[in-house]
Amino acid sequence: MANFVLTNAYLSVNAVDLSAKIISISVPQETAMVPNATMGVTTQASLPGLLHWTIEAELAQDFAAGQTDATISPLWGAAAFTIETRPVNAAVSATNPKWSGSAVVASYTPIAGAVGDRAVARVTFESAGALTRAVA
Amino acid sequence: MANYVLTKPKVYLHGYDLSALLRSIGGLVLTPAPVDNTTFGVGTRTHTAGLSGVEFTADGFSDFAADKSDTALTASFAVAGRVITVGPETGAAGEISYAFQALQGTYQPFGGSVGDMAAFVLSAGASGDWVRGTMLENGSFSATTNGTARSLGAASATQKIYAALQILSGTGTVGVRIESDDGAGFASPTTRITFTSASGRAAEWLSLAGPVTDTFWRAVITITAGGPFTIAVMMGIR
Repeated sequence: MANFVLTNAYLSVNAVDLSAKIISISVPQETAMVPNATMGVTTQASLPGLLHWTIEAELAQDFAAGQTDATISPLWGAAAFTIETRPVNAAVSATNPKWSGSAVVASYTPIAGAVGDRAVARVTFESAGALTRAVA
Repeated sequence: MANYVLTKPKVYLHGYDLSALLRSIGGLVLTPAPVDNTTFGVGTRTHTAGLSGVEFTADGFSDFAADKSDTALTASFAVAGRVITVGPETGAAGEISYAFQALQGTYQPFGGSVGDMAAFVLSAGASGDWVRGTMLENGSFSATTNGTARSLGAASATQKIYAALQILSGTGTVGVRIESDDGAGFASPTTRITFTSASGRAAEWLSLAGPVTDTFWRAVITITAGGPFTIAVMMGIR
C-alpha cells in the first residue's frame, strides 16, 4: 500500500470494537534512552532501555450500553486488558498490521468541549505488557 | 551556498531512504551539554562544553508496503548502533552531510484524525559518535568506480575519521572502501576504511583514529557481482 488517508482505523478495547467512535488515534512507542557514556568518549551515547508504549485516542462520546463510556469507564483503575489497533478496519495483513498488547487506562476524560461542540472523550492507554506487531 | 529552502533533504536510516516519505524534519540538534564551572570570585555563571548529544526527529506519511516506512522504522526501533545519514541540502555528492550512530527511541507507526494522512513519527538519539562531513558519493553504481577526489583535510592525532555507508538497494556483491592520498590524482592511495562486503541493503559506521596527514579522500566502490547498487557514503573528521 502507499501513503493513505486515515478514514477507517480500527480500535478494540477489552474486546469491544470502538472503531466507529474514533476521531483521532496515535500509537507512540518509546524506548528509554539509558546513558552509556564512559570515560574517553565525547558523545552522550545511549543504550535502549525499557520499552514504553501508549495508545492515545479521541473518541466521539456515547453513553449508551456497549459504547464509548460504558467500555472505558469500568477500565479506569481496573486490571489490565487487551487492546488492539490497526491502520484500517480490515483484515490483518502484511500491509495492514495490527498492534496489540495488555494495557491499562492512564487517563480518561469523559466530558470535554465547549457549548455547541461534539461531545468527545479522550483516553490514553498505557502499556501493561509488550506491544506486539503482527501481520496475520 | 546561500540561504535555502528545505525541499530536497535526504534522510537515510540504516539502508532505507526515508526522504520521499517525510513531510518534516523536526531537527537534527547537536546538544553539547554545558557544564557549570563557575568558581568563587567571578560575577557571572560560567560553563564549559560537556558531552555532546544528538537529537533527531522527523515525521512523514505511513506506508506499510514492503521496504517502506514501517519496515524501516520497526527494524530500527530500540536497536542501538543504527546508522542515520542526513543530507540537509539535496544529499548530492560533495555536499555537507551529518551522520551518527543512532538509537531510535520513539516510533509512532501511524496516527492522525479522521481524514488526515496517516502519519508516522520518529525520534532518535546517539548510541555512539556523530560527525559532520561530506557526502563522498551518492547515486547508482553499476560497475566498480573510483569516486571523486575531495580535499577534506588531514586528521590530527586527537581526531578520528568517521565514515557512514548506506546501501539503499541492489543485489549482488559490493565492497566500499575509503582511500586517502597526498595528491588529487591519487597516484599512491592508501586504504583507510573498508566496509564489510554486502549483498544488498546494508549500513555500517566505521572510524579510524588519526593522525592521517593525507588531505585528499575518495570512496572506491567495487562491484564483483550483480548491481546496480544505490549507495550513499559520507565521511568526516572530528
